[in-house]
Amino acid sequence: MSQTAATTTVPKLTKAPTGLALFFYRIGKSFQTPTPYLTIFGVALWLFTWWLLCEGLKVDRFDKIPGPVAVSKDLFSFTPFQGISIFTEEFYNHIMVSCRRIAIAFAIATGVGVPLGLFMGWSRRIRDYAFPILETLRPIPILAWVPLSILMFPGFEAPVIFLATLASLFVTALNTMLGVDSIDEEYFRAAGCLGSSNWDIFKNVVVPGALPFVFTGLQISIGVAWFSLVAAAMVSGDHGLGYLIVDSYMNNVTVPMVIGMITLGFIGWFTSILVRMLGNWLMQWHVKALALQGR
Amino acid sequence: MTDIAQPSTHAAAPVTPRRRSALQKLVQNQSLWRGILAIIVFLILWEIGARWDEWFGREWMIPGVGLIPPPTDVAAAWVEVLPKPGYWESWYSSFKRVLSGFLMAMLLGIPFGLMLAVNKYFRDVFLPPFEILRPIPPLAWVPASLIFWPTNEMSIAFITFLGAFFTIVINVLGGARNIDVRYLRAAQSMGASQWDLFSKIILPGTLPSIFTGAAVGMGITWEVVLAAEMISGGGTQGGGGLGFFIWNSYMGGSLEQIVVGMISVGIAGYLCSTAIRMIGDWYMPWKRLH
Amino acid sequence: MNVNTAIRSESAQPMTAQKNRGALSIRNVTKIYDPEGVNVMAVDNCSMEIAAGEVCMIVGPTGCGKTTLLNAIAGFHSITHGEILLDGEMLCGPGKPKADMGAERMVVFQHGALFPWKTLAENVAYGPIVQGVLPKKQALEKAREMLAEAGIGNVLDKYPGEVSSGMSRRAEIVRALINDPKVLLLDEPYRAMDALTKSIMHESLLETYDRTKVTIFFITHDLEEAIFLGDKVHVVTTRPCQLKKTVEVNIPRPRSYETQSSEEFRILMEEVNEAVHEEAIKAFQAGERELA
Repeated sequence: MSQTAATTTVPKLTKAPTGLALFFYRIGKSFQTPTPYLTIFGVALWLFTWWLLCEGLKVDRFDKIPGPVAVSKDLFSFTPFQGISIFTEEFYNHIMVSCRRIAIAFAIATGVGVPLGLFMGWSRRIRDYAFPILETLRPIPILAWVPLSILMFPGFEAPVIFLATLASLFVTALNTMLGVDSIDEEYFRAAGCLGSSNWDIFKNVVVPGALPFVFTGLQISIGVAWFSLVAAAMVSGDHGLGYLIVDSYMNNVTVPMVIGMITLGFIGWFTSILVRMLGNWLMQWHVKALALQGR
Repeated sequence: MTDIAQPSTHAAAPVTPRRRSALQKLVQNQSLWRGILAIIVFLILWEIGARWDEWFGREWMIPGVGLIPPPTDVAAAWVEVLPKPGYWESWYSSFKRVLSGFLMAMLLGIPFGLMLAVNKYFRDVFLPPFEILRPIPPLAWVPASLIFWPTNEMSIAFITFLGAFFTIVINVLGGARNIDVRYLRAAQSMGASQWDLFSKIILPGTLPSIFTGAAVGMGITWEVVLAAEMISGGGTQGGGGLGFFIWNSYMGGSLEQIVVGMISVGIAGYLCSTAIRMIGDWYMPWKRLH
Repeated sequence: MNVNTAIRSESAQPMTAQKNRGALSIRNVTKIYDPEGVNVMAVDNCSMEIAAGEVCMIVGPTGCGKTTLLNAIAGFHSITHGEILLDGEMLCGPGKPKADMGAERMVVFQHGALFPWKTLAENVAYGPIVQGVLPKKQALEKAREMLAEAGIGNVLDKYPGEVSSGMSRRAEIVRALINDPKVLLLDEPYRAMDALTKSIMHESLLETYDRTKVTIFFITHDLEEAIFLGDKVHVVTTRPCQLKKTVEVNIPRPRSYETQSSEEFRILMEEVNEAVHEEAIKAFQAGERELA
């Protein structure tokens, strides 16, 4: 009976990776699970199905819609067959116009909606007066406002921006108000004990306390703003991605139509991420607390 | 060790307050009266703003509001349009489209969402394409849909379906995944089968999210139906729907009817949301305690 | 070695209770809630006297209305009948059903109410800044000083969500004390903690009390905690809350953890337990959802 005790070498403890190294570490680790492979498979499957239906087999009716090959051919070429690629100025014009409208609408809606929501949440009186009006107007779908907005505002830009602002405003104000409601009563009491004036409470409890809900609302509201913008631009407009889609359809050039759709999706997603990142930056305490809870 | 403190000279006679009747509570509700006052003031301001140029001359027209028909004119137009069958046909058409698209979205969306939530491999494969398509606003699909589907009706139905589908799936997925894992463990330790887990824990646990998704999806459905009706002209066979009603009024220069249409759609949407909420309350009695 | 000798700063001096500073008088207080027209009597004709500088423990089953009493003293709720006096002045009573909230009656909450969006130091400095007592820079300096004294100097600039519950609860007490209150109101502050953290918190609180001699009104359901910390233990009945029995704790201060194994302690435990046990059974059988 040999007594060779296996000498196990205890691995030296290295520092936990941070920053960029952590990012790569996580990616590396995830590739050891089936998840990313399945993701790639899923996306590939979808692309393949799209290609198959629209270009490969040219199934009836599907063949009128451009497939991934046609779209990417145009998108990445210097002389796109149907007029729009990442190298044409027109493409970026449309994008800029849409983004500018969103920026204005979002800014106004947030600038008005957040204070309105904060006051409605904080003061029973203000809520009693303002909330019923909002709730009466809110069920009216944004698109029902299109003809009226054309009457109210001159030109093309103003009605479109008005519609996106309106949609965004409702969401922002409501979510902000809910945010204030969600603040635990005890924080108000603690602040009261500590000798705060009403304004102190507003600044130090209401505003920071509502922020998480406010940012959730802002993420939703930017999505809603895009939705309304596209709708409005389709109905009446002469620039922008919504217009691009409808115009291409009218002129029977389907590739820019699809390009427009994809671009819209991408920019919408991107702006939503921007809002979320802004929120995380402003709410360090929330992010850290969530991280420690393992979420 | 001391005993209870000596009774002091302030003898308190507790008074039991009378129960207020439901009507009394309604009438004494300050919030209600403030709300009513706010709406009345809003209507008055609207009336004044719209009629300003009538009373004081064209140069005084208030920008924005001045061109809108005042509430009294709108009310008159509404009364006028109520007996006309065309108006009610529009209601019917829109409702038909909304409900068919919405129901389809629920029928396909709830199972899809639950599958995504329950099976990791399914989720890994099908969630990424779903998430890529989701940010595209449903209305961006309209022209593609018009090209693809043979009839207007079907293309409208497809868009309606899309609009609600994404929302419902996301809500169902979120709700199912948020079910506290302890409920599942408790059930398993009591000998539940996979099907039991699904039907008795996951399904009821997801119900609140299903209803939230339904409520939001319903709102989107109305938006989409309206847009589709406005863009595609609503189809000339039978009623074009409320969206067409509004657009037509605009084209025909009948401003009061535009507002009538808007309010009608608002009411329609509100009725649908309330219906969903009431069904939700009925299905989920435990939620009422909140 | 006592934890507190390690953290006590050299400059701390034990103070004697200032006369007539923080004497609470609760007289025939009744509180009836009226949710939905069905009156709920939370407190029924409850009276107690708390001397200045005394540590008064309120013990009773959960949900019996003791928090309502604390809320009435702090000014969060109104009372239906009776009156509450602080140092002879009426806080609330006939003609004034709800007391004003004020920094002389500081509250430490059950689930902790440190503002999650401010660091520990900012939280503690909040009171003096907002009352205009100190400018911002000095308030923060004083906050840091007091936090260091309390033994949490190394996490001053962290958020409450990042530190342990023991640390944050201690910081909350410092936040209360920096305002030099007459009365410290504690609503089951250590309820959610494990026994080990709790024992450290007890020693910390005792040390703080020995230094400042502030009147303490402490609600708890933990009998050991009550006897270990308190001068007087008031046992209250289940809802509606009434004073049932008062037990005086004559163990001399400063107290240390060894006290808990003494004979005197055991006798007191038996006495309090007897009184509480009956109420606990009643509360259990009532089975109602606890009042907030």
